[in-house]
Amino acid sequence: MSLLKLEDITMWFGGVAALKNFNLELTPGEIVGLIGPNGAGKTTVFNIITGVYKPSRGQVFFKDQEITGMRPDLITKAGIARTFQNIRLFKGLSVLENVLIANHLHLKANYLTAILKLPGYWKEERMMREKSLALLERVGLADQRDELASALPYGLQRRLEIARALATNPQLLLLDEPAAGMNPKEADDLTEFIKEIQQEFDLTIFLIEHHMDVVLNISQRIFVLDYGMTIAKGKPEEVQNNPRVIEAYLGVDENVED
Amino acid sequence: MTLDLFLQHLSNGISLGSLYALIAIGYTMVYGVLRLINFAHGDIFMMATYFAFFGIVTFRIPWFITFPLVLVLTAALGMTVEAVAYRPIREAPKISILISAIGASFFLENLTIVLFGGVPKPFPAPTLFTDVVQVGTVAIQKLTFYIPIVTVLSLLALLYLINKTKTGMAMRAVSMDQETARVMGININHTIAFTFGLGSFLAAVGGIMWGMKFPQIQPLMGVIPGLKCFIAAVIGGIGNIGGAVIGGFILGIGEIMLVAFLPNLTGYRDAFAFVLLILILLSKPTGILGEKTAEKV
Repeated sequence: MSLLKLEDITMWFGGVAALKNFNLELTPGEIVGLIGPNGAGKTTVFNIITGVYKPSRGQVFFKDQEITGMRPDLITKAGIARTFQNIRLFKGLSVLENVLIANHLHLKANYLTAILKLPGYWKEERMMREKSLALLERVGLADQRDELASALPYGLQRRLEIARALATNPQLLLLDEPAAGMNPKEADDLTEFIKEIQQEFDLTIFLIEHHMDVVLNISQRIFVLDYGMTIAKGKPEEVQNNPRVIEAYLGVDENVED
Repeated sequence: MTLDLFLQHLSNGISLGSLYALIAIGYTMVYGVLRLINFAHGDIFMMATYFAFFGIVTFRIPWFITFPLVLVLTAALGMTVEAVAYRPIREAPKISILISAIGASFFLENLTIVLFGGVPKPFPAPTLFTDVVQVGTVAIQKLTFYIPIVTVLSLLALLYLINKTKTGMAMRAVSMDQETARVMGININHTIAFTFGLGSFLAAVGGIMWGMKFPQIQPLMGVIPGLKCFIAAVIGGIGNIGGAVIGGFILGIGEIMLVAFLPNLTGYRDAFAFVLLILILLSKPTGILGEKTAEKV
């Protein structure tokens, strides 16, 4: 059974095809990488999966249900969470609130119970808080829970984004350049961290990454995009040796990390 | 001017400022989540006074049942305006939504004229609130004391809701980054509707007390208070709730004091708000509590 399936997705922006006939199938428990030069259409794939864009053509299935163009909050509810290339935390909210808010969608309480403060409301609130604190503990942010998200150092902001995504109870986690701006040591730590949470939370992970050592180390399969076209896919070692990939991407090793 | 008289003016200014503050919050909250000036807000405030009139005069429902009912109905009206006039074009350019807001405002005003007539109606204020008490040598309506108390209680409840509940957290998140909020599973339609409901609810609290203080209601009564409260929100820093409150009080107290100290400028009472707006925009365009933000492209 496939967890996520993208069928023949094409996305036009005006006259430019950001993505052409893109096909993808993820099986549960996989870690799959998506690489390609800047502007290749990688983030567009994420935006289509999460419902931010509606594809010009093609269909998206999650657990065999079509989710093409569904509202982003409903897609999140269905079990897909993401992080962003340029960190998009709620900067004016505290670290804890950032995680709490992602927990939000699992609450049964509505405005009425919230206003009336029915007993079930308090129980849910308390559970949500405990769960959020446990998550922060897990990613090593428990001590900073009352700080503003914007006050965290860069690396911790990335971790908080992952914690926030995990708080939505996803089955599929999309990571958009999680190691961007990290030095090799930090990138190594992150690789380990991603592997750990994949096991712990029983996740399927689909990630965009420019750090080649991270992608090659972590991914079981890799897709390579260039100008919206899939130019290669397969096991890391296969992709690494594919002449088209080397030409489009790996060949220009000076600029790979940009 | 004697101290007694000054205190009387001050208490008047504070209660007028309270009313402005309650209405200004609605403008600022909607701006916070949608970056939209809800021009129909003043008319929603006007509708609240009509709801109260019909409840008490036409249907003879006692005031203590009518008033809560008015709050709920007005909140529903605010949410309806959002659903009908703003939600369908939310993705359209900002200018379209702004025009839709002006349209919603004209629609409510003219609907009221058609349905209820343009002739002013007396607001049925319970004497419990309009009784006059003697404080020292001056006579003051009880209402003058009740208005600031009700306002402060409403504000405390609002602050609790925004800072301590998950709905409030969702409102803050939506106002910071709508797209991310959606991807985090927040239903922004509900959050925005709730914001309109809340703003309209507070406008109704203000409307009921306004009706008791100035007991004559008519279909265009929301226009000038609406504009002034919009100005109050801008003066305080639009998008900032504390700012709206401060702006409301500055405007209310300033207006009363202008009339009190310079009686021959009484005719310019309404102009005071606009002059103040121009001065603020010239010296501190983001308002008193507004933060300078780079315009997002």
